[in-house]
Amino acid sequence: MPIKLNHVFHIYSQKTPFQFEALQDVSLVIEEKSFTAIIGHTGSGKSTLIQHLNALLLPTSGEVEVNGIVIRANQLPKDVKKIRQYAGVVFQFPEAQLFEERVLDDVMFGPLNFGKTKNEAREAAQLALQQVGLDSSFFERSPFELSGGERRRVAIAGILAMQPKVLILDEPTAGLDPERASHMMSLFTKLHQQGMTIILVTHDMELVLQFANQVIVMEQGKVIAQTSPQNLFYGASRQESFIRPPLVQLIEKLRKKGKTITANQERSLVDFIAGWKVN
Amino acid sequence: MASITLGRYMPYHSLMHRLDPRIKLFAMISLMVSIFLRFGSVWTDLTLYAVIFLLISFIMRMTNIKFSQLYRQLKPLWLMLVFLLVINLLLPNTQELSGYLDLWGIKIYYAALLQTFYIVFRLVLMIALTLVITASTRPLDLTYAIEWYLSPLKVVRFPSHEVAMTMSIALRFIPTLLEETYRIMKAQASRGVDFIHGKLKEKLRAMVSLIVPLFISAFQRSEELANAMEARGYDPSAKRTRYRELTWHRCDTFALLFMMVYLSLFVALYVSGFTLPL
Amino acid sequence: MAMIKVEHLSFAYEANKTVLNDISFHIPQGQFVALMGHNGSGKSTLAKLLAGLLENKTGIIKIDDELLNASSIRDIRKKLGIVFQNPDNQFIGSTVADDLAFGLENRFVPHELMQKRIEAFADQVGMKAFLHQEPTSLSGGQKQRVAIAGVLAMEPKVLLLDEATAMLDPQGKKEIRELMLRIRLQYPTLTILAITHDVEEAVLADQILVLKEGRLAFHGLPDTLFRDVSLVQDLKLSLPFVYELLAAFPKIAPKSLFDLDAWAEVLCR
Repeated sequence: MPIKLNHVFHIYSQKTPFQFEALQDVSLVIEEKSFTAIIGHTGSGKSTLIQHLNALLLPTSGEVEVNGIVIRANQLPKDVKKIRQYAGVVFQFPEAQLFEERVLDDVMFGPLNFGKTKNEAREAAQLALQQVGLDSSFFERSPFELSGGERRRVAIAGILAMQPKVLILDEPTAGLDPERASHMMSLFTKLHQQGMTIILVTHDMELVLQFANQVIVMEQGKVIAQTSPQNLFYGASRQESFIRPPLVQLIEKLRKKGKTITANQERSLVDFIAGWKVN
Repeated sequence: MASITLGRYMPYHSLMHRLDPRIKLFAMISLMVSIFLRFGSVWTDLTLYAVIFLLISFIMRMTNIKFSQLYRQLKPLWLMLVFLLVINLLLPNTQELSGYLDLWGIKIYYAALLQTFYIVFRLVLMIALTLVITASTRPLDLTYAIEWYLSPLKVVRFPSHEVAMTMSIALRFIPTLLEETYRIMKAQASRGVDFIHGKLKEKLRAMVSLIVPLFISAFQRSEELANAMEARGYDPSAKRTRYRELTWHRCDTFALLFMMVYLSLFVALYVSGFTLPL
Repeated sequence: MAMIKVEHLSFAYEANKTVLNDISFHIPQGQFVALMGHNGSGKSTLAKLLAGLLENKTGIIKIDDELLNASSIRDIRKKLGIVFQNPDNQFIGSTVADDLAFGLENRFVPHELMQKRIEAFADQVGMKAFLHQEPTSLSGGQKQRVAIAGVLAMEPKVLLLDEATAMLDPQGKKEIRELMLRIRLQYPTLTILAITHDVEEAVLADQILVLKEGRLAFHGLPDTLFRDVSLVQDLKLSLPFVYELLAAFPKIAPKSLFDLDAWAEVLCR
């Protein structure tokens, strides 16, 4: 079922001198099984938006629909746990949430909170850890003796173990070196291929170009575009205020010179080179 | 966040704001001492306390603090005050004030009422004074004032500079740590933690999932901060210069003289067992 | 004259876990050097050793011809300024001005000179308008700029950047990259060593050092490194965009490698 937002407003600190409209009349639909990127400058409302998707924040007015459950203004739904399990959110630098003495226990924390039995939680945790590339030698270790990249993977496993249908990621590759970032994106691609809806909040246009099939552009609390990455970078909805990846710049220059570049060359340099050599 | 007025600096331009934090600290302590003094008779107490109350109210108005703000700070405490009253009623009191009210058969001694009144009065005034000083003084300036008062103790090897540095760093990190607390709460809530409802056992787990990461992060932060400070040449035992300096003005001298007169007067009244003829 | 001399440096955290193995290199004054390496290659350990934050090494580190040890570290810290990775955990002051003042206070700079210096260095990094801002209202890139200003205010001979852009968003990274280019022009005698995993940063350096499994595997020009695709793969690095193009189209590559217009030109022929 798609995620829907209907004329959602969110106002922080209402009736105080610090009042701030973080979301203004946001209406959008995120289709199931899509890989949607949400982009926007700092303060555009991206993080406020994603917190509405798992009912961490409630709309000041308007409605949010997740997994068929309607979240109305200022009303915490009774089955909020169902929503939180359905739409798993991985915040930026998620390794900050680790607290258990052993890796396996921490990853089991989520499923246990959602009512799984100990055995079910353990199985889910083990599977999730393997998905992020941490084998059984990690299960009994303390999260705090692991490296930064490993701790990040444990945190993500903690959300995957909840078996969400929608995975919402806020800058999952922040602070990672290129190799680890690449592994992480491969994991999300794989999950997407297996049917998970992925929502990726990011500033990194290269990720948007390469992985997303839908892009939502936010500016000052409003949705100013919802389109495909191709359209965003090469077509009608081009946004000037974002840093364009060098590949996009190169392809634009080639097209200006009259060269034909096909659509499947547009998303990564590897594809571009492959497509070029074919011609 | 906006409702936490106790401890929050309000950038106005009152006389109180202009005064040196050292004299404000001295004034606050002098006033607090005076409200704990007891004089010759109950009526003397009440009269002099009324004078102090007027003085502090005047100071509050000078600092642009409304009484409604004071009231809001006291609201959460009303239960405690009722509790105090009950305790005082139950305890036998030997006071010069005898007599009681008969309320549906319960003896409410005047002494007990008075005792409770004294406690309430002192509490209200202490909170009012704290409000005044935190609203009119930047936390960092307050830290400098405390450091200044503690600096003579350096003679006996008391680490007054280090204490002041610790306090100012703690102040700088309070908003950062608060932000981090919210972030961790959100992350754990997304994993199914319910901080508000749930049985006691669940709530304890919830607390652990919040406090452990905070502590871990605090330790890591301290280590990195210590490295950064060392790398920038910090040496608490070496001599250092000071960027922010406290400057003494004429209004500060007046305030000092006033407070010294005030304090001497009240101490004299106390020592002499002064009694108002009534 | 070599500003940074490292000779036969080895280090192990515990008995059997050697992290750095017999590293030797010289960095002359005024160079901008990038230090790279895969995860676990030892580059952060090397950074800490150069900063004097770790001891018990074998081998020699000399900064400005002064041997680095427990007794000289205080003196060396006056010549070597470090900017760390986490923008929050090196911001000590309650405002930008207070943080810049911290270093000046440590160095016993007279009070009368402080305000001018603070303003001058804040201006150099573009933060003069933010002097009274608290750190919570600043972005990561802004905080790192303050950190750099704080170090420059000490007038060091060496600037060590320990993954200073790793935690920043692309905008912040761009700000710092541009700032570094300005600083190189303004301080031609300043020696800069930047530890990084960002190849787009490293490609701007005069020289690159690459660590692999605790050993120094490459010391030379960025161009030399990035033209050698198999070496780059072996060192587990990635290629900057234009070098990937170069690897794919070696025969038609334009002379000005970084000029995308030139690339468009040659690809159209």
